Amino acid sequence: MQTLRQLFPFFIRLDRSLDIIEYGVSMSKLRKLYGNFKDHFQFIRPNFEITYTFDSIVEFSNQVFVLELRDNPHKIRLKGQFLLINDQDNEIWFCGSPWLMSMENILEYNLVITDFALHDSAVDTFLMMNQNNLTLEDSTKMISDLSHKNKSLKKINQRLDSIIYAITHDFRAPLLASIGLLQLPEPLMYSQVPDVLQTLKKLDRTIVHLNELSKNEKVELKVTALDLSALIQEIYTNYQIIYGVNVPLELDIDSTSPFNSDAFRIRTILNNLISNALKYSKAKPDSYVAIRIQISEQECHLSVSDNGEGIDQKNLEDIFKLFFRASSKSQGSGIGLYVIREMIHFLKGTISVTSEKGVGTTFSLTIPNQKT
Amino acid sequence: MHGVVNQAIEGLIIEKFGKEAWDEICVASNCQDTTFYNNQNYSDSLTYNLAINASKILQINLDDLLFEFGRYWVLTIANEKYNALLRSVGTNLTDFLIQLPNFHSRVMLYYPNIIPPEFKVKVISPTRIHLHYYSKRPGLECFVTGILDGLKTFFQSDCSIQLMEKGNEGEYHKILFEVRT
Repeated sequence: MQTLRQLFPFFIRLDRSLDIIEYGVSMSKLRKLYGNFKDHFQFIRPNFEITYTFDSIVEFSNQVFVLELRDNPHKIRLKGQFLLINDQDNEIWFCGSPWLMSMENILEYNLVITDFALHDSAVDTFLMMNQNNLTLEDSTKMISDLSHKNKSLKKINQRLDSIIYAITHDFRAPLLASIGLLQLPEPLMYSQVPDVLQTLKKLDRTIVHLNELSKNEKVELKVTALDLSALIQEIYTNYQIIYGVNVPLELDIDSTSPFNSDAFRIRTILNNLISNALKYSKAKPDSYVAIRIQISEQECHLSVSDNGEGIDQKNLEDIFKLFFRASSKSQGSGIGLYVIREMIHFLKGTISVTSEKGVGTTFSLTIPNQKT
Repeated sequence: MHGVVNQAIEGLIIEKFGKEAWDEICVASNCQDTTFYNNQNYSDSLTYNLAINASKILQINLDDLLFEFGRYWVLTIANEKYNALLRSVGTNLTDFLIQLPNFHSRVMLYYPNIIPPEFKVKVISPTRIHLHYYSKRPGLECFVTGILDGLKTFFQSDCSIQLMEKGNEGEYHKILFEVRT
């Protein structure tokens, strides 16, 4: 008897009238039992043809019993079996334990693990449920990781396609031009040199942009304090020399805080924006480039405006796409603005453009001011 | 080591020192592309590398760091992922510690490939228990001490936990803690 009590702390001992003689110490935490079994429990399984009599229960004693505590808000169910105590034949024992359907059940029922016998697999079910929840959490995380990687792979694939296209078309043109030049008779050769040189310079610019693009993917964010005024002056002077122009710069910086960001990316963004502004401004005699900057503790607003050729409205949506060119005569490689957008995204900033054909273009950027 | 242990290292470092510090530690430990999932096993050397590199990069004593990882494991990771389990094992620290050996034995059933530590609890008196810890993994006493300290906080206990002995027995590293309430 003592052994049964230890092995089944939720036991219920019944006499031939199904009056409760005794019950386990753990069962007492679910309910104080007195009187008749039928007043406290109902049969869930078996249910058909079973009656609340000693003989009926004995008849079904080769089956698993599922009992439910009556009048309990949690509808606590117990799983177990009935044992006829053979040496006396006048009492039966229910040996089982509460069935846990969720992790919280054990706490809702006011139980602790020590209320269950060590061998009881109810506790293992409880632990298994916790592990299953964690596995589900893992699966959700894995799906999200895979979806993220898939998106990134698709993007890389599209870019590779564009690069292959560029290599077969853009890279081949200057190559063929150079081959053609070398095959010309000497007097004709010299007259063609400036055009071929221009094509080769364009090719070099394309390679520089592709390198910037590749570095944007690989180089980690490195935040330092930046002197935007000095950086812009330096870049501006360089490109005036490269393009052989003298376009006035209006630089206006309103700063209430130092600006911290990634030097490599900010330099590349400014390089591309300033070189574009100068490249398309040089045709006009009253050309100018205006750069306005507002720096706060949170972010930096930067705009680069020119009164150059402007961009056709129908092309504005596409100018940030890789290898987009408004026309075959376009001077650009079709990569510079794409590089700018990718770098701005990397810095978690935004970029927009407004333009009017023949009037000019303004690029507006917002870049978070990083903490050093 | 189980993923949740590495999650504790990741969580604490990001919370206290930021994502950049964590990324730097991952690069140094050669696991920059690794995600730590709850129910996956990772090599022990990876966990040791993360702890050692964190100590070097953050310039914090390794033992102090391991202690904090242990506390964080209980108070954040286990509190979030095993809360009902922690509360169902017992209502106070002593009841909980008495169940530690059983808990670790059961865990082995779900993960036949993991080697959790083994515990033995001796109740010396109603206010004093001896907790024996055995593990094949070396150098984790500060991590285990941190876990016990975290449990003390979790169960709002004012007990004292003292490391009484440590040593080796065969391939096992063993530690004896005394818990006085």
